[in-house]
Amino acid sequence: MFDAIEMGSQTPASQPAASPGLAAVAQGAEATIYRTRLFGDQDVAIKQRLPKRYRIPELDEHLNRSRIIAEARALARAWSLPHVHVPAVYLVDPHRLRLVLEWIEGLSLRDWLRTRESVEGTTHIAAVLEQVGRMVAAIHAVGLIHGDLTTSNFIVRESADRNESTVFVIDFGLAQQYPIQSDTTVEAKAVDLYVLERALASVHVQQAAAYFAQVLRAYESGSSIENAKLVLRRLDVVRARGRKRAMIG
Amino acid sequence: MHSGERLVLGIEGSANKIGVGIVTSDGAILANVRRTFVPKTGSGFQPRETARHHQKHVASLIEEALHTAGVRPTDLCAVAYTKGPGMGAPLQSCAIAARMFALMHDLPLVPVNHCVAHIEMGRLVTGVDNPAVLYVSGGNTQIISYSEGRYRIFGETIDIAVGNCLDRFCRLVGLSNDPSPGFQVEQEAKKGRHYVPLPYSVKGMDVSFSGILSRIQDLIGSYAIPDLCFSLQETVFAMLVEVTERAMAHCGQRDVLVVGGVGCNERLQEMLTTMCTDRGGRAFCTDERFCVDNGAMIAWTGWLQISSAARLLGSEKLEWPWSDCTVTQRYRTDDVAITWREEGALQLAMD
Repeated sequence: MFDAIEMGSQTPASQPAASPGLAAVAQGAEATIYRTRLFGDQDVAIKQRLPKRYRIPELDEHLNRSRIIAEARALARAWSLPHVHVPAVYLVDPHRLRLVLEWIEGLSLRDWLRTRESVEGTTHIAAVLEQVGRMVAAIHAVGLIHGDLTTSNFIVRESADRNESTVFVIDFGLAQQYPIQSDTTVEAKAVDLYVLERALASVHVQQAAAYFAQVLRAYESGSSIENAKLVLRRLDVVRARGRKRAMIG
Repeated sequence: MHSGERLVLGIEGSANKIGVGIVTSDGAILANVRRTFVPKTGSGFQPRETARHHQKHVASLIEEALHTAGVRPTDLCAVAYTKGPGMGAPLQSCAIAARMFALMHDLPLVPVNHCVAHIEMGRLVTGVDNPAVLYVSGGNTQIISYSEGRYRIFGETIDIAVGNCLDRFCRLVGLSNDPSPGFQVEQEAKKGRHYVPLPYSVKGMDVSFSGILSRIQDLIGSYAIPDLCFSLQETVFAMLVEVTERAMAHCGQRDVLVVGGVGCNERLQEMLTTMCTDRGGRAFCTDERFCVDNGAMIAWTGWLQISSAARLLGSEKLEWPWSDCTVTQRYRTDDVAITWREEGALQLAMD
């Protein structure tokens, strides 16, 4: 949901959907995030999906409605898993295209890496990347595929003394539930990891390979031996296919 | 007549088009001529017959380009050709012609990446400086953004290219390949009214088209061809615009440049324009002269490459190592050091 959290200063796009009458804190490609408080003390994020004028209405309505419901389901599923940190879902409104979610304070992994890269050693970074890998493994273990594992979609929440961090995974807008064991599931998991690899490579150019290797190690130790073997082997196939695509001009 | 300007001739022939262009060092396009190999209805272009087509036309196209520009070979400062990516045999045919022409007239030869050339041509023609780039053609589907001396690929197809999906559909329903399959699908789609749901496959910033092709194959016969064309275009273009927008949000860009053969589809251009308008940016599009494969794009990128190499070496002389003047079917957009966009990039290229 914060897939462009750093764009918070940008004016939200004009769009026909009702806004909750609040100032946007983040404007992503798919949704606007607003922050407000419930019951006096509970910080929440309102994720308002944006209808897209470039799509024909039949397609747009279908996509928006099915995605918001799928997103709520996936978040609820992930929330129930051990060692997985996702925002809690408080309300689902498929008509207004809104989700009300627990507010997660912190920096996106993308921004967190940028700030940490410059100031401190690699141990803290390694611990965070390990959480990323383990969390993806735990989600994948139940056949849940996130579908958009970019570095903008992990939030790092640091403890007050900055010695400990909890990583949250957010934006299940493209998530899909797959059968736990099937070839399509293996493929989807490999593609999920491939998206993360490429997101790391596109922004954190220098250290991307090392970062992703750490994520993969944690993914392996968080998965069953069988799953890790199948998915990592498929990841090589997905990568190779990626290269082949440059064949014909 | 072109005193002070330097002229480069470029030869492109990585797919079914062969093009020869002549551009000046200021980016003026003096000639940009092209022949297209059109396979018969129901089939695609095969490497061997495409190579024969290029071999047949290359010499006369070079003459035609020189004539159109009103220049002689001795007025040129370099010859550029497509190194890849593309089909092997057509690439080789053009590379050999380029090499021979360069040797005949004692000119330096510059190998050019086809994808980078599309981007540079789009930037030259539209004047947009630093956009997100949607590169869509029969062989490629990539969402690209410039960063630290490279054109980096943020999203791409994980199976077939969008143009390939349209071309193969065109063949399946028996539409003509003349002037191009994509053009035929676009015209039919204008008559379509009913949207037939198709798989919509977006994974992060990547897209997938092979499932759509299998699904629509099963629907042929049950629905009118214009409705299928309409539904196919609406689905695949919505996917492309969606991932482009996501990449723009990720990189903080407001403008988009669309290049490649599919980029001249007016419905795609319209959808990109709507998306950009809603984001407070602009979509930059070119017409078929420049977004379809052409020689001028190779000539212009060849000039950018060879002139920045000379600056890098602090040399007056334009030169490029002959050992690098090969062809390759696989040549990633992000393999090329972009040495001409910023000062720092020159240093990056040296490291």
